[in-house]
Amino acid sequence: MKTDQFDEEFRRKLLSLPAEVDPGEVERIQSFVNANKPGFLGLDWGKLLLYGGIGLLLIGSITYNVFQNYRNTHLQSSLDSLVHRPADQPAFSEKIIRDTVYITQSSNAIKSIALPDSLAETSRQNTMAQSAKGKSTETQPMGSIAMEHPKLPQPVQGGISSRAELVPPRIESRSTEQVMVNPSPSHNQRSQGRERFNQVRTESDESVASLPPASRDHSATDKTENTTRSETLLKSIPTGTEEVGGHSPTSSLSPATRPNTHRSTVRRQTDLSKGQTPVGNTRNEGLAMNHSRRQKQRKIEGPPTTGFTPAIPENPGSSELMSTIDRQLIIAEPLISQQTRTTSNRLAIISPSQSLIVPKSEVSGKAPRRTWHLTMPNLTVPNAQYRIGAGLVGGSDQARGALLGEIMLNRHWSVQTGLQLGYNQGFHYRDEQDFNEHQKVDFRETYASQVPLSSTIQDIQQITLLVQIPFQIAYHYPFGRQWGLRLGLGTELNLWGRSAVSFDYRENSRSSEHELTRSKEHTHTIDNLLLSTALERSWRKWQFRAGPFISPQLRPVDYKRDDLSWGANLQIFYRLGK
Amino acid sequence: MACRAGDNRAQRTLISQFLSFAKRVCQRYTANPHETEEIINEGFLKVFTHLERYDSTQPFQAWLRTILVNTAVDYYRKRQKWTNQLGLDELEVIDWNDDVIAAISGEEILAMVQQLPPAYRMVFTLFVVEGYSHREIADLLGIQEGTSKSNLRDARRKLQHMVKLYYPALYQQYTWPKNRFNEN
Repeated sequence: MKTDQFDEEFRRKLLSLPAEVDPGEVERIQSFVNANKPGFLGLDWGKLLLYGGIGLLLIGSITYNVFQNYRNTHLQSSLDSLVHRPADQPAFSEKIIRDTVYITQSSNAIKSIALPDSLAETSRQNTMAQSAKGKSTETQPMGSIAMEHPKLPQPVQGGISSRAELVPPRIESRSTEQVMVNPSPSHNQRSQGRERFNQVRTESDESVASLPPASRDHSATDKTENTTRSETLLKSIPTGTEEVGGHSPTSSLSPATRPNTHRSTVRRQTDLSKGQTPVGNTRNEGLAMNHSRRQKQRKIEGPPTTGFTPAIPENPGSSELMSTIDRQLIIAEPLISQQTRTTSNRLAIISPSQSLIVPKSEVSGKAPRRTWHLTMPNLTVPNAQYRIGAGLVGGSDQARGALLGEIMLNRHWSVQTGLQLGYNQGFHYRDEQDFNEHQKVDFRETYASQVPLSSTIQDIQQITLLVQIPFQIAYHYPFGRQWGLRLGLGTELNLWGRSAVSFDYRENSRSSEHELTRSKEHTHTIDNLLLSTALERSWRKWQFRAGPFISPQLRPVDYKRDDLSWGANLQIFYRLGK
Repeated sequence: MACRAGDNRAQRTLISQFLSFAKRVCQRYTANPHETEEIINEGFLKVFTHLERYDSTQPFQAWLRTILVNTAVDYYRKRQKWTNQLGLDELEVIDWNDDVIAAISGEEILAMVQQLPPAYRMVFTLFVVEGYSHREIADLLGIQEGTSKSNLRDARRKLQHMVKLYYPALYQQYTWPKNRFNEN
C-alpha cells in the first residue's frame, strides 16, 4: 500500500537521523538531575520542609488545644467544687465536740486594755477574717483568747520572765475562741465593777460555806488574801484605755501593779501547768470584780474542733502584733457563768504565740487524701498577642490577596504568615515575531501549532496563577501611641502554580479568535525574597498598614518578567484577646 | 552500580554515552529544541531516580527509550488540552508518490514532523516510528482508539500538504495527474 510505503519512508528517514550533542549539555543535564533529585521519601527538600512544617504546626495546634481544654475542664471542676462546698458541707458537724468557754468578766477597772491603734486595726482585721470564716459567734478585735481552765494559778508578783511561761496548758479537745472584752471601759464601769466585786465576794462567801471544811478553811484564808489583793488590784487598774504592753501614756499605775495584773494571770496558768494548786481561790479571784448588770455573762460555746482553724493573723504586721500580745497579755472580761460561779472564775488567757492551727487530718482523724494532677508544660508564649487580618498586594506585574495571621512576640518583633492567592503577569509581546526575538523560541511551534500558518498572531500574554504562603519576620518601631513603623523581611513559599498563555489570531477575513493554553507551572518552593516597610496606625484593636515592598528573585522563573519586582502592601489586622 | 550509588562521574558517563540516542528519540516528539531539552532533562531524572527498577538482563537503550517516550507523552498530556480543529477539508487529496519522500533529507523530514500539531505528531511518531498499535497509543495518550486512527490519517494528509507547500518542485517532479483510466 502506498500508505505503508509513505510511513516506511518517514520511519527510515527519522531513525537514520543523526543527533548533534553539545559538550555543555551533559553538565546541564547532570546539574538538573542533582538539583531535582528527590531527597527523602521521594520528595524534594523544599516540599519536605514545607510539609514537615505544616505537620508540626498542626500537631502543635492540636496539642495546645487539647492542653487548654484539659486546663479549662480542671479549672471548671475546681470552681464547681468551691461553689458547692458551702452548701454541701455544714458549718458544724454533729459529731463535733463543742467546747464550752466561760469568760468571766472583770470589773470595768480591769477590763481589757485597748490595743494601740495599729494593733487594734490589725486585730480587727483578723477578727473580721475570723468572722468571715464563721468560726466565732461574737468577735471583737483580738485582745484575748479565752480558755477554760479548771483552776487558776495563784497571782505571782513580778514580771514575765520568759515566753515559755506564757504558754498555756496544751489544748487537747478544747477549742479556742477569740473574744474581746469591751476595749473601752467607760468611767462608770469602775464603780460598777466595784459593785460587782462586792457581789461576787458575797457570793463567794456563800460558796465557801458550802464547801467542805478543809477547803473552806483554806478558802477562807485565801479569801482574805485574795480580797485584799483583789482590792489592791481593783484600785490599781486604770479606768481609761491602755495600750497593750502597759504603755499607757496616761496611766499612773506603777509598773509593779499594772503589768502584774496581766502577768499574774499568766503566772497562775503557768503554775497550774506545773501542777501546782493555785494559791488563791479562784472563786475569790481578785480579778473577778463586780459585774455590771448591763454586762451579761456569757457562756460561749467554742467552735467545733473538727475542721476549725483558729485565725492566725496573716497580715504583715501580725508577727509584730503577736509578739506584742505575747509579751503583754490582755485579760478578757470575765463572765460568771451560772454553773461555775461558786467554784471558780475563769479568766481569759492569751497565748497567741502558740500555734493554734490544728490540721484537719488530726482533727478529723482521716488520712490526708492525695490527689494526682497532670501538669503539662505551659506552651503559651508569654506576653504574646495574636492578630488576624487580610492584605492586598499590588505591583508592577502582580496582584494578590491574602488571609494573614500574626503573632506579636513582644512590643517590637512579630511573625506573620498566612495564605495568599494571586497572579503574576508574565511576558507580553505584540506579535509572534516580537516573541521569537526575545524568547529565542518559535511561538507558533510552542504554543500555537494548531493555528493555521496563514493566520497572524498578536497580543501574546502570559499569566501565572500562584498559591503561596507568605512568611515574614518584622520589627515594629512605635512612635506615639497609635503610630508606628514596620520593617519586614521574608519570602513567599510557592505551593501551586498554573500558567496560561493567551493570544489573538486573525485568519483571512474572519474575526479574531482568542486562544488560551493552560499548563501547570513548575514552581520552586522558595524563589524570592521580600523586603517591606509599612506605616502602622492603631485604633483600639484594629491596626492598618500601608507601605511599599521590593522582591528580588533568588532564581529566575518563567512567570516573572523581571528579577526585581516592586509594589505596595495594604493590610488590616484585628487583635485577638485583650 | 556506581550510578545507583549516586556517583557523579558515573552519571556523567552514562549521560554522555546515551545523550545522542535520547536526543534522536525526543526530537520526534517535540516541536522545537527547547521542548526536546526539557524532555531529555525529565527523562534522565527519571532514569537516575528509578535506576533500581532497571532489569540488567535487558538492553539499557530499550529501557531508556521507553522512559523517554513516556516522558514525552506526559509532557504533552500536561500541556496540550485541546483537540486540534484543523480545517482538514481544506487539504487537497494528493495522489502521492513515495519517491518524493526519498528525495527529501532527514532533517527536512524532521522539520515537517515537528510542525505537525502535537496530537498528530504524537500519534504519527508512536505509530510510524515506534511501532505502537492504535490501542496502545490510545492508552498512552488517554484518547479513543478511533481518535488515534483519525489523527494518524490527518497527520499523513498534513505532511503531504507540507511537502507540496515547501517542495513544489519535487512535488511536481514526482507526482502527475491521472488520466481518465486512472493511470499516470
